[in-house]
Amino acid sequence: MFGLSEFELAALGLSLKIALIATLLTLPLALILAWLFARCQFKGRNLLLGIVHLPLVMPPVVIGLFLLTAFGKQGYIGSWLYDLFGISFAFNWKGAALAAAVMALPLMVRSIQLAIENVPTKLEKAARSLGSSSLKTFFTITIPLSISGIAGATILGFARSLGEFGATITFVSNIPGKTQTLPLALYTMTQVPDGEASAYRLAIISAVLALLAIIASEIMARKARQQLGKS
Amino acid sequence: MLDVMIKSARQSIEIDASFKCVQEGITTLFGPSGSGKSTILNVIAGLDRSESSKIILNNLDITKRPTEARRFGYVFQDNCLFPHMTVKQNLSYGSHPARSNTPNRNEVIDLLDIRHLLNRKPSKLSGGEGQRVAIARALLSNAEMLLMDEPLSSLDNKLKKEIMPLLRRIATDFKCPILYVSHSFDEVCQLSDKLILINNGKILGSGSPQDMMTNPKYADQLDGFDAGNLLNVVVKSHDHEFGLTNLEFSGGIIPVPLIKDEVGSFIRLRIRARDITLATSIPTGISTLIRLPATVNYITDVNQTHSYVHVTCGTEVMIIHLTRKSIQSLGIEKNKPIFCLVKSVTLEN
Repeated sequence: MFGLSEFELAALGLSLKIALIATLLTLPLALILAWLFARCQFKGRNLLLGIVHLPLVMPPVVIGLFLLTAFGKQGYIGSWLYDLFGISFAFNWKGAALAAAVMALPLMVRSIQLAIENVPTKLEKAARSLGSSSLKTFFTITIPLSISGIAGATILGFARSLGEFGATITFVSNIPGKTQTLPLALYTMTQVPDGEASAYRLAIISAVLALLAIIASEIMARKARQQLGKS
Repeated sequence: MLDVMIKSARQSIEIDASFKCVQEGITTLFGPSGSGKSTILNVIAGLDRSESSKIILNNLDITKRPTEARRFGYVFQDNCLFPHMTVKQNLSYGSHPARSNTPNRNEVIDLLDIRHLLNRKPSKLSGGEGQRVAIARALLSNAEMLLMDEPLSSLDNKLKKEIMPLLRRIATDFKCPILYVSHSFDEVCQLSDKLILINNGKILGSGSPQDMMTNPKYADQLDGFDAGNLLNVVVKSHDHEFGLTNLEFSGGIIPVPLIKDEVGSFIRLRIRARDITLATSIPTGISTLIRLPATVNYITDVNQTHSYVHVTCGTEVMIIHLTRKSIQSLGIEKNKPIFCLVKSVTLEN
């Protein structure tokens, strides 16, 4: 397909699968965190905010190392998860998805938080005064009015997951067919003789995917402004 | 009935206010901007937390309940309609449990004249339409009482005049009492069954608007030296030749510039204390159309310059704002029969 080798197609397929799953799993958590940060004042808010945003400012390799320590087979959480549920993140696509999710989380939380903050609190107050609980208000007012922003944030998170490199390679290594996503395959191609053509093909695919994601999220942002009656 | 004791020091202003609202009709909370009116309303609705306040609605202590369980319908300054829903969906959003006299949906829609708007989105409504929908939405949520925070302040005078009679009808026809916050003297005059005067977070006084307005103690707060009289009058006839409407009350006939209200309808007429001239006999060769016979009750001096003369006119009590000098030179004293003269043109609106 498109003149791609089996090796490249495998990396692309694996990347899409990992990014999709990582994004869908991150979304509910990102929604809850974004709502907390946008609407609630609580003790430890800044600490939680800091922890969630760490992946945005720390070297991804460090995050990968943290994940290895915590979620590796011998890790504190990893060994416990394996014993209880038989789930292992070590050197498989699930680990890669976890790494992508952790790296995409701050980006998604930030965008969704902005979208929620753009919903006038007065509308939520009006809903409450009409007899709607805070949960019902969240699902019938807050989410519908920030849905385009949430969609945009999800697309951005998906793009970020596609591009994940440092945390992934540190946490689950670079195993073809298992953890070798598109950026990892590209890296491998730059290390082998005559791999340049393949590396460029992979680079172009990455660029096109990223560009599409940015355009889609921009369209969503414009929709969001229209939804709230702003131009 | 709503009975509240509000204590709140969270905003820039310290609020300590206790009051009761009327069971039927409209209670207005009147005071200058920044006097704590909106905060009080928010505490009552549960939108602002205040641990030391007490809110009792129909003999039920609802202080600890969250907003959605307090059963107030809140009408905000801007209509706060949900932009992603049609008018119809907005009206159906309210979900308080049914109350004893649940308003009929069709009657509410017809009264507020919003039937033709049902399928529109809020962005396609004018200011007056939006506010009418917001009022209908609050009423249809089965609220026990409506809280209104300056709902007419963003509308022009013409729209205000259209909506004010509707508010009165909501309070009476649908038996839904209203607590109405405003800093507009006109609105308060037209709407109040009970007027609560507030300044700096404290209640200065409360009572019927007539009593409050003829009490010089509140004159400064009630529109400064525009203290006045509020007369309940009935439209007697329209004089189209001269463009006048004759209003009747126990004290006589008052011709005012033509108004639209039908013959037989009751309206409130406000006559400012300073627009009234007193005469010991009906003067001749004077243009003033309104000449009402009255008897002096007593005189209060505000300061060295100003005084208020309290008179009885028919069954109504009125106050007249004069200088101390005029009172002395005219020899006005208790039980003296007197004539109140008012220029009709001062009664426009």
